[in-house]
Amino acid sequence: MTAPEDPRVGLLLSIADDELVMGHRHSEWTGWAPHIEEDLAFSSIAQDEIAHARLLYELAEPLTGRTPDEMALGRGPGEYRSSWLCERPNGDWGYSIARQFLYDTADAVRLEALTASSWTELGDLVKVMQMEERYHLDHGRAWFERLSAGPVTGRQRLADGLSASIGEAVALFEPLPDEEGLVADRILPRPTADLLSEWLGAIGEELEAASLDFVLERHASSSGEMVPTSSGEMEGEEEAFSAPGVARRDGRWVHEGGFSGAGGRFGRHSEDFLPLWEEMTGLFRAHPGARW
Amino acid sequence: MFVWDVLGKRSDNDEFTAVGGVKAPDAEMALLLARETHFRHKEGVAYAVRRRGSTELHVGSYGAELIGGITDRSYRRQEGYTGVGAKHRRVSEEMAGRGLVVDRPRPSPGRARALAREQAESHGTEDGGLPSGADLSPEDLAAQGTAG
Repeated sequence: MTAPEDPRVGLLLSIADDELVMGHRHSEWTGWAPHIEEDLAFSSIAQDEIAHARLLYELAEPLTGRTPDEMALGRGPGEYRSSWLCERPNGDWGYSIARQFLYDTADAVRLEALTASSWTELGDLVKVMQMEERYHLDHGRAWFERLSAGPVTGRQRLADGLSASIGEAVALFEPLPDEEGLVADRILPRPTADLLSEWLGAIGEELEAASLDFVLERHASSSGEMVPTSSGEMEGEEEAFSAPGVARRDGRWVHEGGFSGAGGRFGRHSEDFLPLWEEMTGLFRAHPGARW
Repeated sequence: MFVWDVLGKRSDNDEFTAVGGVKAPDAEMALLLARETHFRHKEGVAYAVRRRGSTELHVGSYGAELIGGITDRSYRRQEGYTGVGAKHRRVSEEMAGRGLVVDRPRPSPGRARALAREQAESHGTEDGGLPSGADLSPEDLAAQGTAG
């Protein structure tokens, strides 16, 4: 699949693929979470995310002519529009919690914006998603607050996780293909830059309250290899992989310049995506067309 | 870490009754975990936790419509397994049409490991594990068996 003809598909896939891949990563904690109660909680969040992806693929079906299963599992790696943040391996619990907290707070901002979409079917669907996403926010914040309050080891692991993930979390808001048209038609009611500003301002305040705002300045920059698109295109490399700009201006954290780990919305992925894709789609590819 | 009794209501007219317990450092975390450990299958319309030995009840803020999820979760409830026998027969027939027949029970765990080693050797993998999903042929899957 080359760039989708209908820009709405790119918008849907940017969210659906994030949810699918994030759900897949979360599900890898099943059986391994720090304690059994958390095992069940995190597994439920994984199921929520994958269910949300399915809703969005269903909405995309009339535009793509492909079933939700085909969209979720039947595409080549370069056809996915997930962000790098969602692709990364789980690492330790500190990283997983940091990522879940950042992802779901960012997801909440974009979903809230989409409730006002002129595409009413999307707005209505997002309202359903929001009802389940509330638990994800509660979960992420509960862990953030407890780990940030110590003891030292837990706080350090959370800080390490935030440092490793915050740059790529910013890239969740990299501009979408044909974004100008989406905004002009109010299908996407607000530009991604506007959404990023809102999220970064809020997350900056939360990090400051926990005295963890240093991660915004001392985060790890991604240096992974790229998986090229199916067409082999690597355009935009210089801009997409420049250092992310997060700075404090007039008492507020703002984004300036490029993104770290950008390109996912255009089918360019980190080196971690291909192994994930092989596992996630293996059964579907082994038995094309099989039903259960 | 404290132990918290988990209580639930089956219907609006019921009183809270004990359904289990969770370990958590405080009431907020106990409620967060209790919702998914004890009510993810829509087992009730309300839930609460009470630290063991205490009388103070902390009631969960999620209403009945949100307990167990909004989107389709039938696959994790008993109703989701309705008709599995018929599905199994249909899939078996489809597989037979492709020349794949499961003709033996699932190997015991020890035998499965030995089989994995044999397959790894035949596939030339170095780690002794099963071949990756991309390399796993339908014949490989059938050889592992599905019954038992």
